[in-house]
Amino acid sequence: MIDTNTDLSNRFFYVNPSADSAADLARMFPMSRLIAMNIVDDTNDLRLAFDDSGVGDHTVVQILITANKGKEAIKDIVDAINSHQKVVVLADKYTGESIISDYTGASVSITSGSAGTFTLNGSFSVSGFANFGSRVQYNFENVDGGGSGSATALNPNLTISFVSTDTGETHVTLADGSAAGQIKYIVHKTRTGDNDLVITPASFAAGSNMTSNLGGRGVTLIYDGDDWQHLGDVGEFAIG
Amino acid sequence: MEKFLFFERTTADMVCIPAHRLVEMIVNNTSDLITMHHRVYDNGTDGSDMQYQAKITVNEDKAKQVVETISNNISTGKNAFIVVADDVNKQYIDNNITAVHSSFADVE
Repeated sequence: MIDTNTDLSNRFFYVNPSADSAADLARMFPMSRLIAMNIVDDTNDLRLAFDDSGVGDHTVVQILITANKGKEAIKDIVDAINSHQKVVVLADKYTGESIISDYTGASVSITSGSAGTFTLNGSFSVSGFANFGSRVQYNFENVDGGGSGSATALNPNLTISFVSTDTGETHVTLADGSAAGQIKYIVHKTRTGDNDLVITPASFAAGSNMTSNLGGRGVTLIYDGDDWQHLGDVGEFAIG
Repeated sequence: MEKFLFFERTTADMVCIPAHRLVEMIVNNTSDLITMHHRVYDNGTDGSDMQYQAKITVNEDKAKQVVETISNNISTGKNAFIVVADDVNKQYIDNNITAVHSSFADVE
């Protein structure tokens, strides 16, 4: 969701990060797309965030200013926004020009948002259907089995667990899921020696455990709210 | 006039946000802390929630007065550059503001 300040959409900031050219790599930003100005690490590193054209992220312009002059530099920009200038030069590394009086004439950079990616930090529900135009991939873990008395706990919140077995590394456990419908894939990735994989879910509808005696196999489980159910035929996994 | 809200904790930690991006000002349950939410991504919320926070501590039971002062400056003040809280220069928009509460997240 992008806010639009139409009063500033016909006035622009000009930024040129090139020291060798008057125009190469330069950009114009409508003033209405300015999101924030901040200094967070170094006292001379002024950052201006603008709406990114493609993703839910910001394009950031970094301008090197005189140390400890951040407030003054930001005030210069606010004054320029509230002037009548149609095009305001934020920083031009080629000419050294800037409306920021404490611009050093040195480093200017432009970093676009993370194109093509979308990160959601919370949960997400789709009431309609979902159509994926490309691959679907889930978070996963690679783990080794544990001893029979010290089994490795698989993470039920990671959809896929790749498990390798070796001498003394044969057992894993799986805690209950968080909600009915949760899916878990467990892959017996590699089997070294004659060390079978023994999976013991905390709650397993079909029995008490599953055993694989060959690497390169997988099993799909679905949590029903009380127990893990295996999906269809478990193939070469033996239920015990 | 395009107004901006300015906060400064140190010379290496400050932020300035267009006032029209202010979403809400929340007073805590002891009336000594105000959290200002802005429609801006911080460095950990790309593509997700836009809830950039600026927190200021105020004298107990004076939060209502402070949020009214901020509101009045946004709506009728004559300055475009509104210094809400500046710990470096001890400049505050209301005498009941005591400090910037915590560091600002990066805007990326």
